[in-house]
Amino acid sequence: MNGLCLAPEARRRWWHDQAPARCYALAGRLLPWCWGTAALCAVAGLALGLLVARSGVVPGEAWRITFVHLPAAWMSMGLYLALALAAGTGLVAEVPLAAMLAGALAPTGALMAFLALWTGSLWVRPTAGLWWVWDLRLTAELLLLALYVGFLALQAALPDERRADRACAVLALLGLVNLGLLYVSVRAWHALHQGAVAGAARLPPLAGPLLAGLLLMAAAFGAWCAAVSLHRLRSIILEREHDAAWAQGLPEGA
Amino acid sequence: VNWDSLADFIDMGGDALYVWGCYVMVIAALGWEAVMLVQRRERALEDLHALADVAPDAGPDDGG
Repeated sequence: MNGLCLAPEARRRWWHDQAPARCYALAGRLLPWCWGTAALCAVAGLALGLLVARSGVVPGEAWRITFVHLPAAWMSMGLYLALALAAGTGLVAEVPLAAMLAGALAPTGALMAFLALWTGSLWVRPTAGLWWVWDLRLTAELLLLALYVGFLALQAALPDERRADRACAVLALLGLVNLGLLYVSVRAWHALHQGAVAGAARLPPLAGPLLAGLLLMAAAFGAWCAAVSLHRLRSIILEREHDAAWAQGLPEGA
Repeated sequence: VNWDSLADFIDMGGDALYVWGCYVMVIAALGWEAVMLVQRRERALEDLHALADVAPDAGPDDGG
């Protein structure tokens, strides 16, 4: 807040010296709300998705995988965009917090990409009779998972934090090409993913309890991702700021 | 509610393996992430307190 109305040099120092401690406290206050939202939306979304919603037109029940598949896929893309923005900010501006945030988002993004692939595979098997195909969308999602894993491996491999942050930021920004490809692949290609899975024949009309359940599950996944990322960000701040006086003065359990 | 019985619900119209295979994996993955998260925080706090014991004159600041 007050970082924005200071002179450039003071602003730079504010982001460097004060921002991590402020962010640590703010994240701590936001966490209970995120956990609570995730839990409430998940209970309501699962009740609607598994108990109330009915397909009407689509045979079988595998379409109920939608309620976890789509939120996981959306999160894997959204988290990557946030990661690239944070890492890019850390690259061009002297904001240590930005690189820490990118590091906090990466493991959750990797998990969401994995879940999108896993649930997609288990959905396409009963509907199209195969587990996997080298379709543009599936390949780009697999590459997204590889980018997350590469980001984490690069960060772990370079002992110098600042060099690791810069290398990871370059990788994250290059990976935006893949994210763009993933995004346009929804409409541009009529391959397995669009025809068999997301097409009207396999997904019931998005309306009523089905749509409400899907939106609630998306909210639950979003709140979960926010909570785990903020929680991990607090640990990363402690790891990197461990010699700062404010961190040393934290009471137990704060 | 769609289901005639609990067995009907569990069977998922014959797609039980696929549907539950997804939901169980999601719960397992998120549970694993939560465990990793708690462990990382505990490790960070341990390191912090170990450092505080070595340098006792690093007194508390305004907190933040």
